[in-house]
Amino acid sequence: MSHQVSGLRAWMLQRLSAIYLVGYTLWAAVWFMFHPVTDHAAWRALWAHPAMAIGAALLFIALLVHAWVGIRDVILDYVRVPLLRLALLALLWGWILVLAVWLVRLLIGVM
Amino acid sequence: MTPHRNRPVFFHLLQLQLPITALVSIAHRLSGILLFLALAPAIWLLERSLADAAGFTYAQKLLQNWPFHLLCTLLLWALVHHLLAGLRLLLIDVEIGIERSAARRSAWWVSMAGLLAFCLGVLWP
Repeated sequence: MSHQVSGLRAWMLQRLSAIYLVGYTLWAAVWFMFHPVTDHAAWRALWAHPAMAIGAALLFIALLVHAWVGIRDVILDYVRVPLLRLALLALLWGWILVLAVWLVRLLIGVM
Repeated sequence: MTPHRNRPVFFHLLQLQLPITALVSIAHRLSGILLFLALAPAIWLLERSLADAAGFTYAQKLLQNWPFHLLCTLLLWALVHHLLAGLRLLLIDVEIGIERSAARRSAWWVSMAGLLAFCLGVLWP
């Protein structure tokens, strides 16, 4: 039962993050088409904008959640040896955590 | 109770005729793994481009380097295919395009759009 619940939760997180990622990607694609960034100062100013900081923070959270569920599913589908499966899942967790810390530092740096 | 013990098994991947929906599904997974692997280099490049003017020009120059350009084009295909295939699944979740013929048609559109993005990426100046 608890496995079913956690599977459903992961599925839900995957869908919710997917919706945000699709929305952000399409919005960003249109935005950059009309406002191409050509120099470092403009690029830096864009990231210092509060709306961008919030949008990007949500983007990074959605991205990491989505990546976690997706790669977790791949591992659960193909790796049948319990110990190897556990090791890979732990490695995935660690890697996602490293990326999260890195992105938080990046966001704080440009704010 | 083992009624299916002697059923024939045919699993020769090269002779198996996979429908387009299955190919889109396999490519969805593959593109997802590719995008996951690209995360760390992408964050690194983003960090460099934000750090200083030299880093920004470095990131710009990198795109003019053809092996890197090709790699980015592959990632562009992965992004477009993954996004559209995912959107297709979200629609199927709410029972839009769930019939076999509609699902096959949308699978064709998704793969064509992905390949178009790849061609555009290759031709990009």
